[in-house]
Amino acid sequence: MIFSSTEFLLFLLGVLLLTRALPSENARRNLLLAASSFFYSWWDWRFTFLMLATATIDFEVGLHLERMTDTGRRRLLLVASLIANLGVLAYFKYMNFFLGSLQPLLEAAGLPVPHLEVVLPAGISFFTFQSMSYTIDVYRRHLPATRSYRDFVLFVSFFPQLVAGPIVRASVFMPQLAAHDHRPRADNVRLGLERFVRGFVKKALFADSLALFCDPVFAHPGAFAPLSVWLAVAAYTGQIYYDFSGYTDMATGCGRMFGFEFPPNFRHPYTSRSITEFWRRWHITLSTWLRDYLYIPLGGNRLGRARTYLNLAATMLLGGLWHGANWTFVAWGAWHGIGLALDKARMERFGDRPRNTLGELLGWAATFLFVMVGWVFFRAKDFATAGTVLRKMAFLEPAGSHWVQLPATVVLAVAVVLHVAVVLRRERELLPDLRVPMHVVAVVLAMLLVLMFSPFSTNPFIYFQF
Amino acid sequence: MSLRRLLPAVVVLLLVLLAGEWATRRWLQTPRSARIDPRFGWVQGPGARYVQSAEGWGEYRADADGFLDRPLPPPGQGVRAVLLGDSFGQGLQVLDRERFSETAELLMPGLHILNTAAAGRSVFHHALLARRLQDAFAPDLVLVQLDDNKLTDIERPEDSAGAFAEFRAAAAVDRPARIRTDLASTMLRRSALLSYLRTRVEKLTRQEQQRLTLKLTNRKPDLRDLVALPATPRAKSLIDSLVAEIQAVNPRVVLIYVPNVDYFVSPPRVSYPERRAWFHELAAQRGLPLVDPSDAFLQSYRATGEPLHGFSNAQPGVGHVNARGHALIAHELVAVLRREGLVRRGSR
Repeated sequence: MIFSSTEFLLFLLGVLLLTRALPSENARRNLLLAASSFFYSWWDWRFTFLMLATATIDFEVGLHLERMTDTGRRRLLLVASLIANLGVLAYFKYMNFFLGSLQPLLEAAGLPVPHLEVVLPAGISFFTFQSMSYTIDVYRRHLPATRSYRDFVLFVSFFPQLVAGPIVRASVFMPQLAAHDHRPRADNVRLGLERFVRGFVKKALFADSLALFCDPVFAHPGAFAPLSVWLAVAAYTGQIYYDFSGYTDMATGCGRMFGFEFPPNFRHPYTSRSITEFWRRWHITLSTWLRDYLYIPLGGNRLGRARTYLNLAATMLLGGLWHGANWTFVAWGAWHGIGLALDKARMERFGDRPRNTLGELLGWAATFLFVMVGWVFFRAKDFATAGTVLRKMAFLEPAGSHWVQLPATVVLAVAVVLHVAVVLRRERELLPDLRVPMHVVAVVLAMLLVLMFSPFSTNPFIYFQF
Repeated sequence: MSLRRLLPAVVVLLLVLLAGEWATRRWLQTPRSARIDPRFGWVQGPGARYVQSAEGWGEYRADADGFLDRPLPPPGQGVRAVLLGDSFGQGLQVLDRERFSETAELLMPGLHILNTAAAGRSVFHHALLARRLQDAFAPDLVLVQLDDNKLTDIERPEDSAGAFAEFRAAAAVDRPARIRTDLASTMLRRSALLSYLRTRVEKLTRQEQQRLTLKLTNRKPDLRDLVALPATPRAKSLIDSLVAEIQAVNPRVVLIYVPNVDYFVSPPRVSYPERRAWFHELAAQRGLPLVDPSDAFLQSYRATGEPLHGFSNAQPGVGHVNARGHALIAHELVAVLRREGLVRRGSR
């Protein structure tokens, strides 16, 4: 069920009305759990049991970890839980990728190379990471184990953030679940709806329009002139931001309607002046997850300069692989890993902040260009396509059509203006806090814009595939 | 809620809606003016302004008969032709002066083409219209635009039924039509913004209905390219007999084949070569000249890298023919008319 689909809007309305009508918090949590299971089953009901199985393992592991005192046995239990979670992820997401990558070796050894008919369960990377963070936090004794199986499964499967995040940790979710009454209140619904509409506009108007430019160019990059390819890559740079931050806004808005506050996932990432800053602003819940559960356990910056760079590169490499079972994602991760390591070296040599406006501008331009080139690997279906796109961007192959997708270019220009406005207003909200009648007018006009200009594509959110 | 807070909100909403009405009328879509004419079926209101923005962009003014073109001069002034065709012939995706029918007139002074083509028209329509146009305008030439889809569409029952229903309705049109005059219906008819929003809502509803039906019935969308299937003998025979009917009305018929091209394969090629070959066969059997710009399209694409289909507000290389494509068709048409000597013996 895609957030921008008719069935989701009906589903959300139904859940809101029912939750409001129920008399007790206990009944409301049961309803939210049932609704989340229905939401997930809409894709493929079989995988609901898979999600339930991993959640059950982690719930039980959490209880045992809290009771146990023996460090060795606790570590063993944690490793078992991690193997179970990562094993499920490896099988469903990466098995064919691993087999395909080992194909030359297997063939050379005379072994048959099987191809498994595995369907990727929606949101597996997200709910696995959420669930894993719980067991690790309980192991570290940063979080008490929850006693309620229903509440834990609700944490793992809560429908607004189940399929593509934001990655909400148990330490954020469980206290909110325990502390609040989740009967939808008028102010929460209003604020949630506003956030939801904002995300819907980002997705339906911005991201889907920009896709009309980059899809044909990435399908046949050799057929287009360098300027068209540059604009298409810029369009993808915009598309992925509006698609994912739009989804996040819609998820956050849905959560808000039920009284949950999700952590921020984006803070105007394309205004970053360094690659380190970019990762503090882009997909924040993933980057902080990787920092806390991978980079720091690897040693972080505590084991010397060379090891720090290596840890950064390794973390980003795995972060790239987390996105998808393809070497292009690994290359994207490696690209950012190298970028972060180089940026760290730069900061050690020249300091954290640019010295003047020119320095800031140069920093921003270099960062934006670096990120754009990275998106080429992220979007391209293989290295041959990425190579052609990069050769075109370097003006090494000047021939081709000068096609420019006009509506997407207009959307791109609007996006640039909005970003410049964000910088000029020093990241304060662009829209003033409107009172009720004007607020309703703003929402109506936003929906009117979507109805008039959205391409009405049925593109799922990009991050749904991860 | 106080009036002081409500009033600005209402004023802002009204101002934005007014601006939206103006912008829609100017650039996106004019209010619907189509009507059924007793002689010609669906046409626009006389003198109506017509804007098309869904693919490419075109702005047109209907003549007194409702055709989106200038009227033909009286008989005896140059060569007078009528063009029968579908959306490819109508060419509303480009500016009026860029349509092949207009460009051909510029390339060949004395040639006058009345473009009567309309989106969705089938060869049944062409055969039914040919007699009526001959009676109304007595053209010297009949240009019949065809494309690969015609060999598929001709077998769709709704195509033939639609054509006959349209002209049955046209025959009965002198009865006063019942037009709803309540405020909502009048606003919907007269407001470009509301009319445009209605089009969009209908499109979205259809799309969602289809998607949900597939989901609930656990079916996959049918993505087969029906035009890629071999044309049936029945389809060929139907088109052949309908072209014969047009020839019976006016023997001076020129067929114009508008190809589909796969630009992004190596090497670029005509999408449906068998169908193209059959249109050549049809022309040869009927003894009719055929305008086929396929080779010119491929040559132009190889030389410039610019596809002859597709637009800057749609997708490149697919959909309708763009201004470059229309120019090439016009050149090919004029070359064929000159080669066949049809322009010299044109006027009666």
